[in-house]
Amino acid sequence: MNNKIDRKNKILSSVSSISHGKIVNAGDTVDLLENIIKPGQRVCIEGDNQKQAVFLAKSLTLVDPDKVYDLHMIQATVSIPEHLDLFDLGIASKLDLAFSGRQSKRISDMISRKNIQIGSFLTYLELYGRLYTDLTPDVALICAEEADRNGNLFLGNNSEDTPSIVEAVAFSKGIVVVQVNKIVDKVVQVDITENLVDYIIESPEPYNIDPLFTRDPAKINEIKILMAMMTLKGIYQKYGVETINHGVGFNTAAIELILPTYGNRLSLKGKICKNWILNPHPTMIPAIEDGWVESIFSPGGEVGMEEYIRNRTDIFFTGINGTLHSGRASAQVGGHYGIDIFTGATLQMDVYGNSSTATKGRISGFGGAPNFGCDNRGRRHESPAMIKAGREAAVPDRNFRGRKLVVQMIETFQGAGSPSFVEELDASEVAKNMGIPNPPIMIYGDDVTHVVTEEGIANLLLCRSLKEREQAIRGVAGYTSVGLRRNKKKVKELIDRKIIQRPSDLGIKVNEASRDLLAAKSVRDLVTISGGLYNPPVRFREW
Amino acid sequence: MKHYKFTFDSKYSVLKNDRYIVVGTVSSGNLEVMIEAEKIESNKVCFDIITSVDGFKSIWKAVAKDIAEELKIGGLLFSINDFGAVPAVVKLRLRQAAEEYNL
Repeated sequence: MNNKIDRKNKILSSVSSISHGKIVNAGDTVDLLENIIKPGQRVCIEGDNQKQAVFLAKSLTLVDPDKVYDLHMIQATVSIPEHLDLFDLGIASKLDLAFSGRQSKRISDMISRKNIQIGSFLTYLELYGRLYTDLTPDVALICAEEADRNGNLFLGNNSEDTPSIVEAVAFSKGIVVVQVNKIVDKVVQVDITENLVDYIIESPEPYNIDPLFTRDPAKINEIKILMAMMTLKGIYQKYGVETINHGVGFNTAAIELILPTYGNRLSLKGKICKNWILNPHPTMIPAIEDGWVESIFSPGGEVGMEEYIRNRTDIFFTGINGTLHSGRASAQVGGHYGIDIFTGATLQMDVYGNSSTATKGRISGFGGAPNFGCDNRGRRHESPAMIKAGREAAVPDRNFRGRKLVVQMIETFQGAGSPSFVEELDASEVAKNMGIPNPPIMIYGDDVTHVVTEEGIANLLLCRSLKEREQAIRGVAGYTSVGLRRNKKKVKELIDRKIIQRPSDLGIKVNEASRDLLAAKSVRDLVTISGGLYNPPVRFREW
Repeated sequence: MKHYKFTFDSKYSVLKNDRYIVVGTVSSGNLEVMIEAEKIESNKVCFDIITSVDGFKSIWKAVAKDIAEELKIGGLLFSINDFGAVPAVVKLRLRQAAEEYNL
């Protein structure tokens, strides 16, 4: 029963004329791929939110489709055109993915033209889980910063998914091919050991990284600041949340930027928001410098934060040399089971609190939000925040259980005439068009504990029926048609029961919701507060 | 440009004072709110709205009515000059103006 090892050895020896030890010249990459990938095999091209194995992806599109075809692609993200070109070229036929981001429009076109067979849209944790069960790739095409001649890899600041993919593929006797920015005599540190790596190619171009988590404080308006104040005082302070994840966006960036101002005025430093699962948001710099943060574990890296992190190794998870260690799979586990609260934003919410980012003609998939933003029913260790939330939700004659806090921040309108609250999500129509049984919901309504709009906070834990939940949501939906259809008498009752709390009910003066509360008002302020260590990408420099 | 006027009956009144307050500015996506107590009967709340955007009369009316009820006021005139603010900003400015006026 050692067929896999025999097969792998046979494939490796069949390409011995192409490789020099483990090293393959960039010019021989297509030849290598045509020989090691067999028709119908499962292949993963490393492409997460940020780091992309672009050179290997391009090379795979150049293989002869008579030799390599019917591939089943297993992708954390489908981000670059080449990921989908494979299907137009007849090289791949089936796709399992977690997130499609910038390719979301093309992918929905291809689905409706039946150019692509979708296995599933997965969340990150499901995708990583299935790398170890029924979707283990036969070949992984990954990227790294440096390799030595034996194949030891240094992953740089964006380790992200690489270790998870390599573990699944290498130990199932698949083949691991790495594009590296540089082949060196001795790597900075060994993140992946040589025995897990089969081929190394020095790429003619470095792997691509996008700054995805940088939000310019200059774009945070008073509405977002008001919502941040309500969330901080009405939820973070109330429950005493110590372990936390924030989504990416201006709403949560506003919270990060008022910790050292409004948060200090509420005397919350050292009591809340201590341990984070968080991408290295530049907007966290003021809170870190003010002493709020004990630790941050990051799913990915962020362009421009490298030197800052290298000088804040007490906070971030890093190597001894100060290089950030990021890991999406570990961060997802931490964000699911290890935190008191997830706060995120969404584009569209229905009257039961279901939210989705799927809109007509665009399918972007799920990524990690559903794993962060859901109750963790398997959790057994309890924290004060979780106990308090659970008590609010408890129905007298049922067993008590703790609850993770899942907060959705959403302005009632995305822009003039574009309501965020709807009677039925666009996702329902997407599901009909795709012929799938259920709409792609990002966060299920029954997992959401609080909805925050500029109107106030709706505490869904305290709602005792679906009807109450509906009125609580309508009650904070402002002047959208969903909000205008609220039952005024019921909403008044919900205000009296503190299920809906408006700024005045929370003792918040709306006149305080000014940009003066932001600990940094611009990217330049962030640079200054970091002592010059934060080095923002050019497009964020306005000076 | 649209000009809307709404008047609501009120069972409340506020202590009249002869000052007036202004918050906000008339800039893109923003608005200016002025509150004054002159010329208004104590059992009325009036809204005088000039807006650059057509077609949202019913929303303006709903916002005005909610504010009148939320603040439990009478005898005041709210004058609004709007340059395409979303309802969130309108509500924020109205609440800010009310705080400034010590309502």
